[in-house]
Amino acid sequence: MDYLYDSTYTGLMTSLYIHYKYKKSTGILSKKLYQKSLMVDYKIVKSNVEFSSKMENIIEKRISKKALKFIYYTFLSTEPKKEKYIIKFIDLGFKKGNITQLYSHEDTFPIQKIFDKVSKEKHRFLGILRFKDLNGILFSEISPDNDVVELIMPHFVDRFKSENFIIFDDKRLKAGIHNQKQWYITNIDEKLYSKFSDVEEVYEEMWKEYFQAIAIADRKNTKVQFQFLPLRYRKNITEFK
Amino acid sequence: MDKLISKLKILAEGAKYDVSCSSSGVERRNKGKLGNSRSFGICHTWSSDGRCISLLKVLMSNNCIYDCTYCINRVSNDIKRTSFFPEEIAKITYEFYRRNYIEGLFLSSAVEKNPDYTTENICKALEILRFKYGFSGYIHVKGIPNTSKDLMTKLGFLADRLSINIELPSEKSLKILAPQKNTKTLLLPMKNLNNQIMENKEEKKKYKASKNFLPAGQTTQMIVGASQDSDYQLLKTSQNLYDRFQLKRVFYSAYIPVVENSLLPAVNTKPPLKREHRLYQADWLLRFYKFRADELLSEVNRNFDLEFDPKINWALNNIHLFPKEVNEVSYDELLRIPGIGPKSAHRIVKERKFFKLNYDNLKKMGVVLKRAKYFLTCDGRYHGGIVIKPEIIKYKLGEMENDRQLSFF
Ligand code: SF4
Repeated sequence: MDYLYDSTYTGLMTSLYIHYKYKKSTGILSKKLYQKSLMVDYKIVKSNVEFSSKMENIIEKRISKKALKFIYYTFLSTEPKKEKYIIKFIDLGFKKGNITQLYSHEDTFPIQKIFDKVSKEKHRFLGILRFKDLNGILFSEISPDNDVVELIMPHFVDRFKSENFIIFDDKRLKAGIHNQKQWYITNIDEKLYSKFSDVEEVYEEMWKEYFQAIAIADRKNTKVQFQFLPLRYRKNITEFK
Repeated sequence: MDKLISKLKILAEGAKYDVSCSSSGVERRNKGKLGNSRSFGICHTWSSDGRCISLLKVLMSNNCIYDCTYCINRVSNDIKRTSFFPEEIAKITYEFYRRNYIEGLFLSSAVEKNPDYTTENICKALEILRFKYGFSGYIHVKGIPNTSKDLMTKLGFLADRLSINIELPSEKSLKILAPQKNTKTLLLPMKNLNNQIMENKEEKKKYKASKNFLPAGQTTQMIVGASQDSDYQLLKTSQNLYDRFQLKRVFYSAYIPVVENSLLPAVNTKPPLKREHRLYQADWLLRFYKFRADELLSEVNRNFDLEFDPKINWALNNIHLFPKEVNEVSYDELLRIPGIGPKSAHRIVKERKFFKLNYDNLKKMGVVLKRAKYFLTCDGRYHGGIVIKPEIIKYKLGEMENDRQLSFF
């Protein structure tokens, strides 16, 4: 039987708990993306905070804290087969213990690769994310491949601790919001977003001029520039607009 | 505002040949109002020359009293002159930083009036930034040769990193091309600063609250191709700086002719980018692969081969040490195999404890097998062909080399 969860992390963990504790599934999948088939029966799993945190504890104890981090990053990725990889990874971990040391093993390699990819994108957005100042509120719009908003928030919360800011993911219509005291993730609808669509001029202009001036013409190398900064990332970057 | 923009343009133009732009080396949480520092560098964008931009890199002033032949800001050059007020530069940094355009400031300057006057102005800008704006982000500052020791010390408590650029690796070429500088005025302050950095580290162990003195250390830069100096001379100099003054990094900058002068390469000479690239590769070998300059070059063999990278060259000249068995040799020996870097070497060492590695494992770990296969065996098997011979390997590697992109920032 396939287990279908509500595409939240708690949902995934709940399904894993039921899978390992009660009855093995034939697969754990997100309800949203599920395609029903006549051959396999399915069951909808309701998110359960208690089960979920139990599952997290089990992974931490029997494999490692780092393994849990790997699983979390994998969950945030867009990889379609991620749940399958996670199950294989946990299966191996229950047998062998601390398997994050293993890189190229067939059951850890997919997770390692996804972890690298998500980490790389997280790191990238620490740099390429741009804020504009709209009457004192810093607003940023991003469209990352993976769901990294939550991962990048702590960095900005520390860096801009005396600022109010919003980081809006326009693919997932969710945002990280910081109001000087605390931060949280919330869903944002387009209407609210349109309030922040104004442009900011003075410093954007100044930054663009600087960006032009700092390049060395004799060393022109746009190929390398593209390697580091693929086109898909450029639409939200001030100096490329 | 327009006036400020044109100032910024001029003073960025004047600073752009300084290649250092990294912001790595210090991890600090936000202790003021704005800004923190991450030990891994963060690139914010890439300019059309492919270089990472992480810091706002500008001059305080381009109004120089010195006359270094290779420099666009030299007194005898006819260009527009301007200077920032300390408040202006602090404000721009603050506003750029809030928008996450930059990771911090790299403030340099031409020598305006005299070295102390220049450094005082730089200090003022940094004080405004640190104390008025509560800026706790990364600051890299340029040390002006001939500045008094007290002012240098003051600077060291305001900045994260300081660099004094050597530019030329020998007294002889300094004399010819930068007559107002000499190795003593460049190296002595480096030495002093290094002592202060070490003292500060000791002090921090005892009193956690003591102020930081250049927590991200010192760096320097040398120009490649303006003088007659060889790669051997450059690399030896770097090695000395790493050994003696614990420099964090040496940067190399391919000389771009900006002036017509009989002492320098002609104006339309192409900058020696490939040579610069080889120097960066060799520099990595010194810092992360435990190589010594004398293993790579010598008095006889003074310059790098432009066709093959320094590590492959070294391996080909020492073919009797290969192939190495990846399941057995130490971490340090793994690092000597072309196509294996610190990351893949680490993975190999960790994973081979669990099981014997095969060829496919190496591929997944990120070993560049196209190069590595000639220099290793995997579980006893050699994948590089029938015999291990430098000429054959050279021939096979030759074509690949041409396709590799130059990017080392
Ligand atoms: S002192 Fe610096 S700015 Fe002045 S001419 Fe020499 S290199 Fe250029």
